[in-house]
Amino acid sequence: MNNIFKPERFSRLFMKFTAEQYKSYLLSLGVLMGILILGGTFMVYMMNVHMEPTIQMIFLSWVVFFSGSVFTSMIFSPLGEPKKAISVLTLPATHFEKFLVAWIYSFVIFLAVVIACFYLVVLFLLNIRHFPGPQEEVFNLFHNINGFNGSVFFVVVSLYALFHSIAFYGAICFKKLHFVKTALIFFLGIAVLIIVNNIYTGWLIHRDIIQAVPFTFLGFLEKGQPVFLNVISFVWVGQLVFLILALMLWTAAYFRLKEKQV
Amino acid sequence: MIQIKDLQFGYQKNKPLFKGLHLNLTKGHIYGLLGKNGAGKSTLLKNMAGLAYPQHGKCYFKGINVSGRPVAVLEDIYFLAEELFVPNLTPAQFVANTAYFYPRFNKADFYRYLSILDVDIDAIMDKQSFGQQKKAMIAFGLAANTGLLIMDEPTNGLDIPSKVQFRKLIASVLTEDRCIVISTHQVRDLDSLIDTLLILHNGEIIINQSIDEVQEKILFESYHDTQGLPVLYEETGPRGKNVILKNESGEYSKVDLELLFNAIIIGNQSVLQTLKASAHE
Repeated sequence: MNNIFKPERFSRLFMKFTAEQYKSYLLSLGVLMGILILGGTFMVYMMNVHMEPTIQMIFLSWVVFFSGSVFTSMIFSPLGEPKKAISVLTLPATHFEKFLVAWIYSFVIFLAVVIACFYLVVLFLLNIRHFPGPQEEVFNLFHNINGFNGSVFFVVVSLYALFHSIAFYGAICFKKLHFVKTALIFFLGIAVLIIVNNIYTGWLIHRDIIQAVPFTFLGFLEKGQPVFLNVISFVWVGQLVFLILALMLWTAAYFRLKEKQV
Repeated sequence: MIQIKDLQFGYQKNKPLFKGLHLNLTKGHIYGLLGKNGAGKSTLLKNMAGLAYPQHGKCYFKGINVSGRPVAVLEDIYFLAEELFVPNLTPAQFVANTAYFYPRFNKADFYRYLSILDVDIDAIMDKQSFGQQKKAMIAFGLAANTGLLIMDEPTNGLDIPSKVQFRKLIASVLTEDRCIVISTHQVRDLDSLIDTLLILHNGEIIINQSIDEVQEKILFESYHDTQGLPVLYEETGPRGKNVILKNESGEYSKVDLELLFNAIIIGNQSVLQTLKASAHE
């Protein structure tokens, strides 16, 4: 067990990582808050956007998925620079402990901090301008969404798990431009998957298929009219697939870290 | 302490840097690893520390395979790279966060070494000059008290007084349980410091001999005229000819590492054969 995980060593590693990174992370957080406030104020004043719960939810999803993917793709950036990689790889801690510190920072801590920041910004945006009619409320993170199996929080976490695992794997695989390269491969992969999925489902049901991301819904044309099938009782299948994919990519990332050479 | 068996490694598959390299390093020695630029010195050191994985063969540290970087190995090896990374911390903050990982780390020694090397303990390391950063990490590496200390071009970036201090420190920290490997292409920096010479050339360790053995076999002298002398190799310098002679008299001379290195690198077979011959021949 000592060769995989030792609680004391892990906590020391976590403290070391925090001591060496907190300044740059706080700076990044400040930048993110600035972008959210500026972007939100622009939406409210210039575009007259009412911050309804649905808008807030979309806003939160974009913030989490985009900034989370950028942040995660840089979490292993030291491994792309030989001089930093040597100091990381020769530090006497196991690969699992090093992996776990990066995972906790980019998944758990990131989600907690960004959601907290998001609520602060939303509270600010709801109070800087009052539109006619009843005051909009801050949306409940644990509210169940229609058409999804679970609360907003569960959906955000399961989808973020997928985005995070892709960015995490890319962060270890690439030496430079982690985010750009990962995003490029991700979009190419999604495009290929959609094409293959649509050809396959079209062949299965003998209909003209409407383009859709796999494991979300099935749409086709019936006598010229679009028909969408999104069986709520099967939504969990898609979410389960995303979580399994995330687990596979996290595992692959761990083994990539073990194999990393300088 | 270090056993390398049949090492094959290359950054490109069809261009191996090492092919079947064998090497044994034992504790209680300071090894000087010499080689031309691009000979693979740093790569060999990375293989020893588990930073590069052999394509074939194995590297062992105290009987443990270093590939996979097990903690038991990492705790007992300190690798000082040529290009260093230092965090945005003072040496005191750095040691407070990092010393724990090296079980035999001695903080008192660390501060003493910093003082000897003239490094400010309260200065942020990444705001310091490269030389100061290097000295701080040398102090850390020495204070870690690891069984194996690997230093890749440690004197690059050091000023002359610091090089002198560095040599004194290295000589002072060698114990019977410790092995120090220093790689450099600045041959003069290792004068009077190393006790065993390793020369890496064309993917092989062509010389692995103690300085005492070298002194037993060859002599280093300067002459104006070398006619009639059993010269193995000579170079013309400002004060005459610097020569390597076969040691037939049993006298001892100070090893001129630069002259010896040049002789071997240009492929002087007389010097090589003399060194490879056993002492009593």
